[in-house]
Amino acid sequence: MMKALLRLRFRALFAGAAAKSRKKKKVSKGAIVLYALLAVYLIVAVFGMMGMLFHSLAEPYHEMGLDWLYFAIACLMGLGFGIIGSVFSTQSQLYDAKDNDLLLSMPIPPGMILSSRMLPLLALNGLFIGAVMLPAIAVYAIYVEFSIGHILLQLLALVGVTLLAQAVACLLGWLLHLLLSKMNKSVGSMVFMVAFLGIYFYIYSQANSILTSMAQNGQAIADALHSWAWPLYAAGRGCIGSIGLLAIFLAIGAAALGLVWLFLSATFLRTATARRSGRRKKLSLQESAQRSPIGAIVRKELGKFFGTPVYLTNMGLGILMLVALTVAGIIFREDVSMLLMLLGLDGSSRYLIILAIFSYLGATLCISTPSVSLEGKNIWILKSLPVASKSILLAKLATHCLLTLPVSLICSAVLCVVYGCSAVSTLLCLVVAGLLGLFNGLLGMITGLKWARLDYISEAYPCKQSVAVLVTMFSMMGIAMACMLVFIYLPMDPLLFGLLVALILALGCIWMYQALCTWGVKKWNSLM
Amino acid sequence: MLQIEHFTKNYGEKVAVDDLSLHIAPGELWAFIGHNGAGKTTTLKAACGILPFSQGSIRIGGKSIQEDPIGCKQQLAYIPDNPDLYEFLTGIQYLNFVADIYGVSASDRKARIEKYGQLLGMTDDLTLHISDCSHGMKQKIALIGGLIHKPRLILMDEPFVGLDPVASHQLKNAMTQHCREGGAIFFSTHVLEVAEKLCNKVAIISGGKLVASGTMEDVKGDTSLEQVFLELEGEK
Repeated sequence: MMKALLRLRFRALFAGAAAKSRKKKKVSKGAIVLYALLAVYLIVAVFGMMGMLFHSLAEPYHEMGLDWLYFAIACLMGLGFGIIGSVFSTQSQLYDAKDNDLLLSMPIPPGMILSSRMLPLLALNGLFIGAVMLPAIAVYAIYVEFSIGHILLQLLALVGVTLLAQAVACLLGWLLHLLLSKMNKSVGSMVFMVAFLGIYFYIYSQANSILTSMAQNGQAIADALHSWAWPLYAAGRGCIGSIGLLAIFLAIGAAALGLVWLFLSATFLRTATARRSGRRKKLSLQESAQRSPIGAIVRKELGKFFGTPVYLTNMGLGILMLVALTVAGIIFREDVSMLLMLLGLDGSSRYLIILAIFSYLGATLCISTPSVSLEGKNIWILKSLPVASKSILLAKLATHCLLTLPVSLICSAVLCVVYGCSAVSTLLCLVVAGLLGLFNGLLGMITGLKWARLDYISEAYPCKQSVAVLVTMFSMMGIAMACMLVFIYLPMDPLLFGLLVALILALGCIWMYQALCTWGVKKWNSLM
Repeated sequence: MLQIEHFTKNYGEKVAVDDLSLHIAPGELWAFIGHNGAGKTTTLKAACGILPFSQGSIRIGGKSIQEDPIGCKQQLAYIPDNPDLYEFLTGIQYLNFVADIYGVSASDRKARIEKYGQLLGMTDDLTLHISDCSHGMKQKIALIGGLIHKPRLILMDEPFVGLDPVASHQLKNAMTQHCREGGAIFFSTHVLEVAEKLCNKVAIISGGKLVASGTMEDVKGDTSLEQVFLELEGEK
């Protein structure tokens, strides 16, 4: 039975690929290269960042004889990364799956349904934690001591941390689901997400002082960990050779996950079927003002965006970050201005820094990308209504622009004024920022149509796990990076460079608009 | 009103509907019956323009669904068997969305929402989020959404599934009234008694082929529709 459930879960995960193979379509070489590039980018970016961080800790702790603390900190960071990275997907995969009712109606013990959902999550969590701990293990092996036996123990500690993180993520996911079933889901998810990220960014902004303090106060931290977080002490000791302590740590992880599994199994039926009770109000037809068809679709798309927690939190967070960055830019104006002066950036070139940061943040605003797939089973509605396919697609693009462009334009204008950019460069900054937003929207529509999938079980798929989102996001980041590299290695007048970028983006937008109106319309018509 | 000529639809190598021709005139209420997988939903979906096809033609009010899909869709309403509606909207928001697309004036939509809301006992429930509605309530919202722009042709796939007896009775009355006013309805059903009592025309599809069609009297003769249907199925 468990095998069948797991097979179902993995079939759902790989249904897109399976459909392709059923149609005897081979994955193109271009797609393979693209996937490989994405993988390399992710590995280099994440492993590089973590590697640098652990490099600053490995030698000082080794010199103090606190090697175990180095690994305890790696475990702690892995634990935090794993929990933050998986709590939302845990909640949606465990409790929001559309086939929960169906499976619960079958003679399958709830615990087994839960296990079949937890195992893939455990693998996902292992990846998150590996992204933190593998660089730590590699740095230690390269700079301190290389021992196959110790590396094996450290990998076992990674397994223990994964078990522990999954236990905490499951408990938090359960709590999150309970809260969301009693309040507006989108607002609740956003509050949770912002709180989580607030903690994350606070720690990240304090990273330098935390690391310095960690390097200087190793003994004090070691004492504190020993008395207050004994499992981490055991894990740290286990990583440098104490097999007994490592076995205890693994047992603690397994016991924690086992207990959480028992608790969630006992409550799964009640929790998974908990629904927010609807509130009836007196019907008022005063609000029924007539809108244009395009306006109606845009309004519907906005409703989908603000009414779908996973869509709002994953694609809308960038908007909040743009605003937060602008506010931070105003608050720390003097410090940043000094840095810009040190970099030799004057009024006509400062806008490039603003654009570079905005283009990176803007890459996360893939609002248009999942909008086609999110139609899901509702696609019959738009298809049966008397509105042209092109208008539907353009309404989705308009929704993207409506949500992203005003914020992005206002924020870039504010920062240009605050940092004394010249009038011409401010104007250029606004034009490029606008074009970047439009480019992102169009690219999202094209990729969203290319990799559209309407038969997903959870809305998390089109918003978080789809190829379309990955391709859009990394393409936008790649474009930003390419522009920066060109500017660094082929120095030219900043304004001329901006004009060139604007021209290329405009041409890209025109080309994608044409593609959307021709290929895109055909692709939309063929979806069902 | 609806002219289907030599309509054929394949899914890969499987022929779902094979050379089906059918004419539905204003004022006619047609039942479309057949076993599961016979091709009823495929035909209905193709007729309302949501399923592309390459063989045959379908015309609504003289316009081709392939050449002028917007013009055709302006005249029809489609109500699917499974009311998958936008769960993030309330019932009234969904109805306003549909009315906006069809360009129904504020006064007309107000009058129709009130009329059909009361008829199906849904008025108060329209303020609920669709995600909080039962299957039957969603079905009623889909029905009101289908009727809000006063379509000339209504295509329905199993419209009575999930409806309570009162709503079912009211829907039958509304369907008869619609056809009496010059509209036409083509709906699929497995409830042969309802088809027999309600409809003046019937089409029977089996294995993708239209095996019988015409007035109810001509098709069933002296026997019952159930008897005819079982006999036709037995001949396969």
